Amino acid sequence: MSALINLVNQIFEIEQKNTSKGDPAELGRNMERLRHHLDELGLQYHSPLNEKYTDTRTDCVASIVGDLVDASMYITKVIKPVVFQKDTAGNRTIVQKAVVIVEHRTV
Amino acid sequence: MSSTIDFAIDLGTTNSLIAKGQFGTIEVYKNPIGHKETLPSVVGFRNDRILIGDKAREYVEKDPENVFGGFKRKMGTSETFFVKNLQAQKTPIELSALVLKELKTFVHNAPAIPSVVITIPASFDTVQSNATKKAGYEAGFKEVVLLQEPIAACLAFANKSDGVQKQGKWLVYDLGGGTFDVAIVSISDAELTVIDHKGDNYLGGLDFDNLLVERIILKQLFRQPHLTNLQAKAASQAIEFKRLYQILLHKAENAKKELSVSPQTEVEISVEDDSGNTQDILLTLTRADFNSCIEDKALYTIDLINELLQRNALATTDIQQVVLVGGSTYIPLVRELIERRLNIGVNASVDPTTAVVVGAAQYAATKRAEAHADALAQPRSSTSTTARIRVKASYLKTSMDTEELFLATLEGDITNIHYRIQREDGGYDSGLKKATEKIREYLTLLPAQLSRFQVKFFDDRNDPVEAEIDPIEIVQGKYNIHGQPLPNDICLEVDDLEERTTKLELIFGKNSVLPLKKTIYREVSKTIYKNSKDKLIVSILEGDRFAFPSTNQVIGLIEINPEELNADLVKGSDLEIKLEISESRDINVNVYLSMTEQEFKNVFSPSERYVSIGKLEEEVDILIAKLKSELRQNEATEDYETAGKLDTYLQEAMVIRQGLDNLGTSLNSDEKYHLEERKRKLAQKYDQLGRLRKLTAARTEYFEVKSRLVYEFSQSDETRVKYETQYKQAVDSEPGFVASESVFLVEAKTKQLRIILNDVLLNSRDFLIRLYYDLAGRSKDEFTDKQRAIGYLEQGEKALERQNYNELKVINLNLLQLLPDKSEYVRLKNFKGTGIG
Ligand SMILES: Nc1ncnc2c1ncn2[C@@H]1O[C@H](COP(=O)(O)OP(=O)(O)OP(=O)(O)O)[C@@H](O)[C@H]1O
Ligand SMILES: [Mg+2]
Repeated sequence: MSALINLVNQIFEIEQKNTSKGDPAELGRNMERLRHHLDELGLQYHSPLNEKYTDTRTDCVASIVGDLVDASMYITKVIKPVVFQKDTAGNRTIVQKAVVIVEHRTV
Repeated sequence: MSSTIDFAIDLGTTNSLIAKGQFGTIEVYKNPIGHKETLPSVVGFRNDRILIGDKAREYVEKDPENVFGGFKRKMGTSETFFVKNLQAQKTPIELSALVLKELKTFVHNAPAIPSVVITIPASFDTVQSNATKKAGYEAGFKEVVLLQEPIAACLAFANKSDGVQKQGKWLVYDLGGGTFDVAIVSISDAELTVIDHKGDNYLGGLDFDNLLVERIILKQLFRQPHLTNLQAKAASQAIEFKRLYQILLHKAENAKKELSVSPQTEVEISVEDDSGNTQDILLTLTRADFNSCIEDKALYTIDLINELLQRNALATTDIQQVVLVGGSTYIPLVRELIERRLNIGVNASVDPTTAVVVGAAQYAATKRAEAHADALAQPRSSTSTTARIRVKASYLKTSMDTEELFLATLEGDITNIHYRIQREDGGYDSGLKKATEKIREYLTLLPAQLSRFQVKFFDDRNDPVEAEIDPIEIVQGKYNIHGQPLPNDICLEVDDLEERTTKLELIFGKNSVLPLKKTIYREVSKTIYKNSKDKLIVSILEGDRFAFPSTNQVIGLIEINPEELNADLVKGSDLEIKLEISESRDINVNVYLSMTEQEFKNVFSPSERYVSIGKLEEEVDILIAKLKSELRQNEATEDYETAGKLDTYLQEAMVIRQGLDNLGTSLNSDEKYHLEERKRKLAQKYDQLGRLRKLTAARTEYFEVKSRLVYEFSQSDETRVKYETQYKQAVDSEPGFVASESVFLVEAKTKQLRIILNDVLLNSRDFLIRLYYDLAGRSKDEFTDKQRAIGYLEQGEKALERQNYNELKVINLNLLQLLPDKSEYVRLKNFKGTGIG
C-alpha cells in the first residue's frame, strides 16, 4: 500500500511541475490517463490548494505560517495531496492526509 | 472478559500510544483518523471545540493561549494552563486525562476498558506518579497501574531477543522527538529495577531537523546563483521565507529518515529566483553532512551516559547491552557512537517507536485486574434496550454548498455528555463538544458525492453512550436545480468482433445531470493502413443502451480517413475519446490516437444530424440479414403473425437499401438524412417487436445452459474441480444481468457458459458417442457437402470401434461444420465495424 501511495505522491508532483510549466498538452494527457488508472486501483488524490482551512478539517496536516486569524485561513501550498482509497462499495477512506502550508488571507 | 489488565498506554511528552496484550500477541491500535499509531500529546480549546492530537498540534505555536503540549513535564506541579477561550485554568492532570480519553477511542474491539497500565518516566517522583494515576481515573479507568518507561522497554526487548543474557545490567537509551532519557536497569529472573537515570528534556529529533535545514540545506541553497532576494527575505524573516522554512523542515525530516538507510539522498526545492521565475533546485545531502550537524548533540548524550555510569561506580564492561528506544535511534551515527565510545553492544531488535507501549502491554497481559468490566458493563446493558439519548436531526439531504448546517434536538439525560461528529472517510472531525438540548454544526462535504457522518455521544469518561440516530447522509453538488437530466442514454459504438457486429458502450446513463465529461480509453480493434479504405469511426449515439446500435440516433460522429493518418494505425494501439456535453447540449468530441500522436476534434450541436453513408449501408445490410434469418425461423415455427410483420419490415429495409444505392446519382442532399431516419425508425420497430420475446428466450436459454452445466458437475468431480472457477466467474453477477433489460448481456453470459459447457461435453465420452449417433442418424442431405459427410461418418464408425474418443471428437466437430447453421454468419463476412474495440 505505501508503495502505491508513494507512487501517487510522485504523480502528483509531476502534475504540479507540469502545471507550473504551462501544462504542455501531451503531458497533461498522460497525467489524466494516470489518474484514470489509479482510479481503477481504487485510488484517488486531491489537492486542497486554496481551500479554506478550519478546525474541523482532518484531511490535512498543516503547518501554519504567519498570523493565525480564525475564519480566514487558507491552504496556500500543498506538499502532498490527500489520498483516498475506494472500497468495492464505492466508499472512500483517507489513506494519506495532505501535507499543507496554511496562511491567513483576505479575500 | 479477561481477568488480566491487557491494555497499556505510553503517555509521552510528545506522542502517546495505546496497545493491548492478549494471548501472547500485542496489538498497537491506530487512530481511526489518519491511521497512525501515535497520538500527539497536545490538547486545544478552539472556540467551543476540544481538539486532541494531530489537529491540536498544528496550532500549538500559533495559538499558545488555547493549545497546549508538553504538559507531561508539569505533572505533579501546581502549575496550571490558563485557557483564554474558556477563561479558565486547566491542570496538567486534566489535559493528560483528555489525551487518555482520546486514546480510548482508538480501541474498536472492546466495549469498555476498566483497567490499564500507564507508563511514566524513570524520573517521576511520587507526586508526579500519583498525578498520572489521577489522570487515569479522570479518564474513566477504574484501575491504573504505573510502569516505568525503561522497564517497559526492557520487557519488550527481553521477550524478543533470545541470544542475550537476561541477567545483569542494561542501558536503556531513549532518544525521541523532543526528549532524551537514559536509564540503567538491573535485570534478574525475578525482577527488573531502574538503578539510576539521567536525561535532557530538550534534545531530540526535532532539533536535528532544524539543524539540517539551517546548517546544510539553506547554506547550499544560498550558494545557488540568482537567489539573492531569497537571502534578503531570510534575513528579514519575511513571510515567504517562513513558508519556505516550514516546507524545508518537512523535507529535512524525510531526508533525515532516508539518510538512516542510504548514504545520500536528494531534496528537491521549488523557489522563486531573482527574476520571479520558479526554479526547481535539486540538492544532494550526504549522511556525512547530516552527521556533522548532529554530532555535537549525539556526543552530548554519550557524556550523559558516562556521567551516569560514573555516578553509579559502573564501568562500561558492567553493562550487557544498550537497548534502543525512540525514533531518533534509527540514526546510524547514534548507534555508532554508542558502540564506539562506550564499547557496548547495541540491541535494536524492537521497533523503537512502539517499544515502550509494547513492553507495557506484555506486562498488562500478565497482570491480574482488580477492577472488572462487569461493573461498567452493567449499566450499559440495562440501557441498551432504550437508548439514553434520542436525537431529532434535521438537515438538507442534498446541498450545493461545500458546507451544510446540521441541527438536532436532544432528548434524555445529557448532563456531562459530549458529542462528536466525524465524516466516514476521516476528513472531518467536529472534535469533542458539550451536548446541549439543541446542537448545531456546519458539516464539510466531499465535493460532488455522498458524505456520510457518524454522530457519537460520550460520557465524562469518554465511554460511548447509546443514542438513537442514523448516520447523516448528504449529497453535494449532484442535484443542481439548474442542471438538466439526460433524457436518454449516451453511448459509444464499439465493435463486437466475435459477433461481427457493433454494440453499445454506455458513456452517460439516462438522468445523469448536465454538464457531463468523461474520457474513455479503448484500443484500436483492427489495423488501419494508410493506403486502405478502412475508416476509424467514432460514433456517439443517443437512445437506449440495451437496444441495437442502429436504433439509436447519432449525435456526434468523427470519421478518420486513412489518408489523414500520419502512419498506419496498428491494432491494439491506444485510443482516447474525450466526451463533454455542456448544459446547452453542445457535444464536444476529442479523439486522440496515441500511436500517431494525432488529435481529431469536433463540436456538435444537437440541431444537426450526422450521417455516414458507408456506415448506414452496413447497418441496413445487417438489419436485412437479421430480418431474413428471423423471418425464416418464424415461418418454421409457424408464427405467422410475427412473420408477417417481419416481412413488412424486410420490404421496408430493402427500399432503404435501394435508396442508399441510388444516393450517388441523387441531387437531393437531404436524402441521406431521410434514409437514416427511416432506418432508425425501422430498427426501433424491429427491436421493440422482438425485445420482450427475445429477452424471455435469452433468459430461459441462460438457465437451461446453467442447469445443464450444474448437472454435468454433479456427475463428475473431476470436471467440477477443473471448471469451477471459470463457472463462478461467469455466473458471478447473475442477479444483475438477469434482471437487466439487455438481451445482449444475457446472451453474452449464456455464450460464456456455453463455451464452458461445450468444453465439458467435448471431453465427456458419453456425450461424444451420443452426438455421433445423432449426426449419423440425420438425413445425409442435411449436410452441405454430402460426400465429405459420408467420409467423416465412416471414419467415425472406425474410431468408435477403436474407442479412440479424441479422434471421435475431431470427427464430430468436422461434421458440425457441415451443418448449414453457420450460413447466416457468412452474410456478415464483410463486416467493417467502427475500428474501436
Ligand atoms: N528512520 C528514522 N531516522 C531518523 N529519525 C527518525 C526515524 N524515524 C523517526 N525518526 C524521528 O524520531 C522522532 C520521533 O520519535 P518518537 O516517536 O520515539 O518520539 P516521541 O516519543 O514523540 O518523543 P519523546 O520521547 O521525546 O516524547 C522524530 O523526530 C522523527 O523524525
Ligand atoms: Mg517517547
